Amino acid sequence: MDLVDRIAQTNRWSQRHPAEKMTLGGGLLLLSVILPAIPAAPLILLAAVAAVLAGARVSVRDYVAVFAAPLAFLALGAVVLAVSVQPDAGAPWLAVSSESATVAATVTLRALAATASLLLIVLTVPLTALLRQAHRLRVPAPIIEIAVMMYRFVMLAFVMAARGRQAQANRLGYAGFRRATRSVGLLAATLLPRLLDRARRLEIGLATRACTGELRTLAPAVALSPAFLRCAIALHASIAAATIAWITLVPSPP
Amino acid sequence: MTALPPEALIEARDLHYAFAGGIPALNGVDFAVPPGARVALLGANGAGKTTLLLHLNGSLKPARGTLRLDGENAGYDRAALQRWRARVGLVLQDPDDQLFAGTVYEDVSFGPLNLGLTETVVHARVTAALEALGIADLAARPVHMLSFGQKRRAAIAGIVAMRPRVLLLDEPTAGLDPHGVSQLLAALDALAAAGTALVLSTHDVDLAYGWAETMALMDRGRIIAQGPPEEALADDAALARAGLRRPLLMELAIQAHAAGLVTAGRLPRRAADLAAWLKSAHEGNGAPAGAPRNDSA
Repeated sequence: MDLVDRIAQTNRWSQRHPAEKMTLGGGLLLLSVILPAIPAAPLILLAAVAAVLAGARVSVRDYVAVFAAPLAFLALGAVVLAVSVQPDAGAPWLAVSSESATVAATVTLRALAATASLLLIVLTVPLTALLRQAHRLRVPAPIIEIAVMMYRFVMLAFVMAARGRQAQANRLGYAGFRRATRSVGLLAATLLPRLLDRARRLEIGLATRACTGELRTLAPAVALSPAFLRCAIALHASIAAATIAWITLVPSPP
Repeated sequence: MTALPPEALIEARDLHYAFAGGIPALNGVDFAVPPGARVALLGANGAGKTTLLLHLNGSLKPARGTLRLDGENAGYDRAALQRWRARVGLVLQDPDDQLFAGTVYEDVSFGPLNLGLTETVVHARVTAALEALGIADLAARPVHMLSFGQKRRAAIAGIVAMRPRVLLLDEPTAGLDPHGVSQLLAALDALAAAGTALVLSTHDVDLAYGWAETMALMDRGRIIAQGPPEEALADDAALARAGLRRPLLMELAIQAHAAGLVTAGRLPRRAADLAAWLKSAHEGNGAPAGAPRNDSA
């Protein structure tokens, strides 16, 4: 989560209007669901990956690190879909039929395209921008304030946990399984009281700034780029058109 | 009880406060902040500096004693505290105790919005505060992605944007590199030039000596010496009680005087002043022309 947040906050598109990236990513996500997986899914996958790597300039290493977990899940799912168990005597126990292979490939491709589209939004729209957008969409203030505080404290917890772990490691707290287990337990036990203490001190900090009970803030207005939106919609239209053309021109297998 | 200036913006008299468990924190503090003053609050850890600053901002209520703002007794109801904090801003020692919003810009806007200002005015104030602290380029940065020095400047900007008449800073230079300290002092100089009274708590006697017009030494919840730096730091016993030493520049000047290298003159407060002081003495004048004598030397 720390990595996702860092990417979302530092990518080249991080300061773009969230609606632009949500239009691009959301459109691709919709297409991945409604269009036939072949040939739409590979095109959507390509577009989403290119947008993240070439457009938002997320490093390949970071992207792979984030994509690894859903990829592993999808790969496991593909194997389960492709391989069938045959308990009949004489036949091999595990078999892959052409039908099951097609189903596995189709479902996996569609899921990959949808995941890449979703990651496009997750990795380019910072949570802070998302919350500002929620405020503009008149989501009740208390919900946004709770989300803001949760975000702040989750990030603080990450920092405190990392520092605590480092401090333990410096004193050989992770030398051996038993010590490591004990260190993790101690760290977890101290983290909550320390966060609560931090929360109490933050309460004083907010009071010193004439807090009235409402956590209202302002952010500079970000202009919505019509050119970006036009490009995004043109990309969606191109993928849809290519898919329709493929279906029309390429005969489906008997 | 120390005589306090009659025109003080904030005036504390005989303040007493104890932490939970009866641990005494303030033991009869008399303290005043005149308009436009530059006051350094010095003392060892646990001397009561932070507790005093929290009282001056209304974050803590004294068990005994009085606090007056612009000559009126301070109130502790919600409306009075709002007015108080609009006039007296406090920057806490740990910036993480103050920063809560997603980005620096949003966080700095929090205080001015609480003052009921319009969004246009708030945007202008936030921009000005970020520029004053030299962090305009960090406006869109999430607060958890800032270095310690950047966080500190963001926390100060959050208070500066409220444009208080008195700015209290709790150990603002702790943990900053020399460049960060210079930037911070330049920002404070700009605020002082604009008429903001500044109260800075610190252990750094060298920094305080060059910066403050008035110094207050604290020990075990009391102010044990107060006045211009040369006077407040003249008493060896008070310095020892406060766990402090003389500033290097002051010590050098005193030693130079004791060794007969210079005859007299106002003690230099900055390195350039010391150089001029020594140069003048070397040329046989004894002290820079026109410089007033200081008996404490």
